[in-house]
Amino acid sequence: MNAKHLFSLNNRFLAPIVVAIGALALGIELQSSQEYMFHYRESQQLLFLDWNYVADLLMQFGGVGIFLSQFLVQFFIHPIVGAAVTAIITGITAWMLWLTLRKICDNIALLPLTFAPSLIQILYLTTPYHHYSGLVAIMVMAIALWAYTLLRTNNYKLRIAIGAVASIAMYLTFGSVGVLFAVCALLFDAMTKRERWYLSAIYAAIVCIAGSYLVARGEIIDYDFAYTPKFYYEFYVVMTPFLNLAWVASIALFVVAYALGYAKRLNQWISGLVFVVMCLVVTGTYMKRHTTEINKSAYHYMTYYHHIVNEDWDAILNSKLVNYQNPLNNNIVNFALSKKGELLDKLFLYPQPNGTSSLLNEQMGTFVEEHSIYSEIYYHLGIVSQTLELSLAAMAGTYPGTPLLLQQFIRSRVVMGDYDLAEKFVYRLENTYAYKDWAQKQRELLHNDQAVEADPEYGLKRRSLPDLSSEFVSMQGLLYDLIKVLTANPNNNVAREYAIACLLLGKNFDAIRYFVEEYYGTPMLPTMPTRLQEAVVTYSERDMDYCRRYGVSEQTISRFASFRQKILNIRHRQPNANPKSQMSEFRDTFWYYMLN
Amino acid sequence: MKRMRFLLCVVAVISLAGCSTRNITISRSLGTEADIFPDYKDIVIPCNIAPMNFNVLSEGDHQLIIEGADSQLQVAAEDGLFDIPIKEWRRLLRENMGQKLRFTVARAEGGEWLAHEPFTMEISPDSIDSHMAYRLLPPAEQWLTISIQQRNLETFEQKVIYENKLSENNCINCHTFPARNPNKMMFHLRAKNYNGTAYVNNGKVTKLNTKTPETISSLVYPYWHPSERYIVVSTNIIYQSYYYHSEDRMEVYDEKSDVVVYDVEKGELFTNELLSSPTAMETLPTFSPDGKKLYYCTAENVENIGLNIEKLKYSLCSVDFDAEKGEIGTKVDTLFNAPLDGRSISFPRISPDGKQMVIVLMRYGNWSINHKDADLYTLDLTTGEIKPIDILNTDEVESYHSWSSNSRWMVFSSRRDDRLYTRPYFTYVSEDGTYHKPFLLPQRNPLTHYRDILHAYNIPELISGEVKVKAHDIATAMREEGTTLTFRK
Repeated sequence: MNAKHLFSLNNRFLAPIVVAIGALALGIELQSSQEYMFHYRESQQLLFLDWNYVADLLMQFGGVGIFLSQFLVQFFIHPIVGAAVTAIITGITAWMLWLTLRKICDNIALLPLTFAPSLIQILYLTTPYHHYSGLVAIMVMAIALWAYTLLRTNNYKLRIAIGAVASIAMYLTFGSVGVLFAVCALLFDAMTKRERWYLSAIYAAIVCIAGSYLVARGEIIDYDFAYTPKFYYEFYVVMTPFLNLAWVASIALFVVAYALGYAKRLNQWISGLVFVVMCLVVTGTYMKRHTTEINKSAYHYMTYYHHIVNEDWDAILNSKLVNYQNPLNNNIVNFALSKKGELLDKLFLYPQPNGTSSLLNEQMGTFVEEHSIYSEIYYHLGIVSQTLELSLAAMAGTYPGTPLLLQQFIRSRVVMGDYDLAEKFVYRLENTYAYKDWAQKQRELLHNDQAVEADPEYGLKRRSLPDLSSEFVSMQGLLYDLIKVLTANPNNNVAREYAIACLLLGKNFDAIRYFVEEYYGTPMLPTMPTRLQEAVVTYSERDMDYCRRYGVSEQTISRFASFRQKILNIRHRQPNANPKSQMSEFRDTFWYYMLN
Repeated sequence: MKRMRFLLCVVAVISLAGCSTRNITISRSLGTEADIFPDYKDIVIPCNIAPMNFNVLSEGDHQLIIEGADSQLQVAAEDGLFDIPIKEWRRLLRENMGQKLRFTVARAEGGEWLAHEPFTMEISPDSIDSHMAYRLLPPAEQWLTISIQQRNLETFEQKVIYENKLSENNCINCHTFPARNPNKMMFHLRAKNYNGTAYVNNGKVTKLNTKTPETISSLVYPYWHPSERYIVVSTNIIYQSYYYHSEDRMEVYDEKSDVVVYDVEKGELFTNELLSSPTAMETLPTFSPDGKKLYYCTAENVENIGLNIEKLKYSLCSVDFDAEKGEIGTKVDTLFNAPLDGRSISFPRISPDGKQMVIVLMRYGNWSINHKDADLYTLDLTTGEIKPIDILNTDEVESYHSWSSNSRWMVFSSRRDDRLYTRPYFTYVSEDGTYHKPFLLPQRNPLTHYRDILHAYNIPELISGEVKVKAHDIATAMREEGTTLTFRK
């Protein structure tokens, strides 16, 4: 088949093949480059499959679009689904736009450009602040537009009536994309010279009137939400020309199609060439911009979040994305170590440049995402009331919360024995697609103290609750909180390891000495972990009897002697050299950390 | 055409079937009480209240028989819900005013209808104000979605007065109306670009910038003078902390607070050294119904308050107020002495007829909504005697309350249902000061509504009609520069 045949057959075979290949390639690319973004998006929404909730959602301005997108996103918890659904939506949008535009100009060179509006939307999706409903809305708009072009009636009144109803219906159900539909329909009518095409301006007028009415009633926040893509963003996002580009591109497609109509008689070879060039331009532009956008976004954070939710601790520890200068990154790595039971053993094998903040940054930011993760860490430590505080604070920023936050809330309530309240949220999660099994398991524990206390996780946490009092959490620092937990439950090994790690990272020998002398030999510190032994030897290197009395092993004493000797040798040989680079066999020790 | 007629017939038959009501006859009594939600058994209700729909919590086919003096109404349960038709309900209220309606829940069993023990609702001829304004907010003082709503108590209609999606999802502080007048209101917004106090007067919205160099914060907890010329307000520096392990979960407390009076006509604030003492915190002010007394809660400053929260105990004091001259008295009366009593007071509210003051008492602090031990009490203004209102109190929180115009109804906040989500309960207060068993705000489907709602009802205020101001007008006004208040030296 030569090019002439190929391009002459475009309407039947080439276009669908190109769209299918484009969608497939996009799906593969999305899966490899932003898989965790899709998981993260799912983890940030809660769709209650409950008629009252759904009815409320549907009754909102643009509610059908919101529901439809949330319905799709709930399946993104499964691998590949996010990329596949997004690629299919893009393919459908491109195909529908092509079927519309070819009625203005039937030139295959236009086809690659029909991907542009959705591809730009996908770039927006690299941040969680753009709602998936923006992508869905463009698809539905493209389908509606194509359906509108099928109206072959010569009765212009009927066409205008149908167009007006479609515009207002699209506007109310899918949001401000109704404006885009009205504009595109007008352009189509004008460019195809439909009878009294100018009357199609009525669509935009009706939509504008409806928008003004809804803004005046307080149903829509403001005019920019009513008439622009701002509707598909979180309210705090400042719109830039780039964020409006998807809509601009949709309109520009009509102009390009109209212009290309004048070049209809182009040689098939030239058409083919333009087609190939367009493919390359669209793909290249997308790929280049995608790299920029993904770097700008908190993609690494989305990755951690996924690993935490799925308890994939090795993935965190082996990640090359970790920025140890950032305390949150540091905290996540140490959390993963603790989850694996290796916090003290491997603490110093990982960079800890932020002192005690490496362990847990108490000066955390106010972002929902940070609160969600810290809430999880505090729960792990047994400081359950802080989990409650952080999860409630984060829930307020993500109304009605995220699955993880609701789970944290339920777990903290179950630990505290606040079953009625836990049940309210268990019921909510029971009405979700992905979390109902988890919720049903929690229901079995409600109002059953015996079962809660027998549960390995809940039992440990409940035994770690301090006595009832009016003392506030987090008023006197992490170490104080951990000691409170340990006092309540000396068997809480996680709290013990964190307390020791906190002491070591703080390099505060007075506090270390106090801790050792106060608690060694008690249930709170029945044995001396090696890392703590290393600290004891450090502050009492001239009193080995003291060291032995407080549980320092001969092995540690001997290793310390080797360490000391090697340091002395290096300093003797190279007085100005940093000995650290030559002490790699001691990397796991507190002494090595002290060389910083 | 024939097919069309057939379809019309089918539609007509289905519609008629849908409209039909079955009337049953009771075969015998079960001798047990029906398990229903909300508990509307043996209560007093206003003669203008919306249908008291309720859900039966047991399985099976149920029927409700409502009997008045001369007529009865039967309602079949749908999924356990008795949805009482509003027209029929109003007829029953009208025909039986001052009398009791008898409610019998019957259950179908083996082709018979078996009746649970009946209960009653007494219809008081004293009506309640037609509307109630309240904030809907997620619990624990968080605010991604907060709105001030109004509910028509005679129907199920709820309308937005203002919601924070219109202004950067900011925090909306407490709202207040002068003597239940829906045409005037005031509330504060905390937002980057909308920060200020919204003052609404007959639909006109004015933005007020209420932080002055002389005051410690913007205006926080307000209360109108009956003349509508003054609003007494506290200014507060507020903190929030969580307990390690306590039945109260968290505490909201002031580090500093003062009371000031806002002169609406002059646009100025004023106070005196009693209401803004450097050694004490003054807050939660209120006027007496005649406007001649100004009541406020006050506590000595507590050093290192985060570690000594139990020492924070508020007393109730009053000073004279001269509305003519705009002057605050200089002699303090202590009506409730916290150091002596050992408890702490909040939300003093006097009934419009001046006969009753209802207060909230708890062990310490003043953020009663988070205190499980917070209960409602009456305080006799002449003798200072304090009595718990046992019929209203439970083991859970009872807190913020508001009176009806005729002093016969009081709405208050309670967390008795699930310990976190505050809900409004209403009580009838007889002429002799007796309080009656409270009932939960009626909803079309109470069970699903209260189970599903993720917002608490906060600061329920009875108002005599609908607030007409448009939410968008408030947001528009709040974007403007606004008027900055002055401080009278």
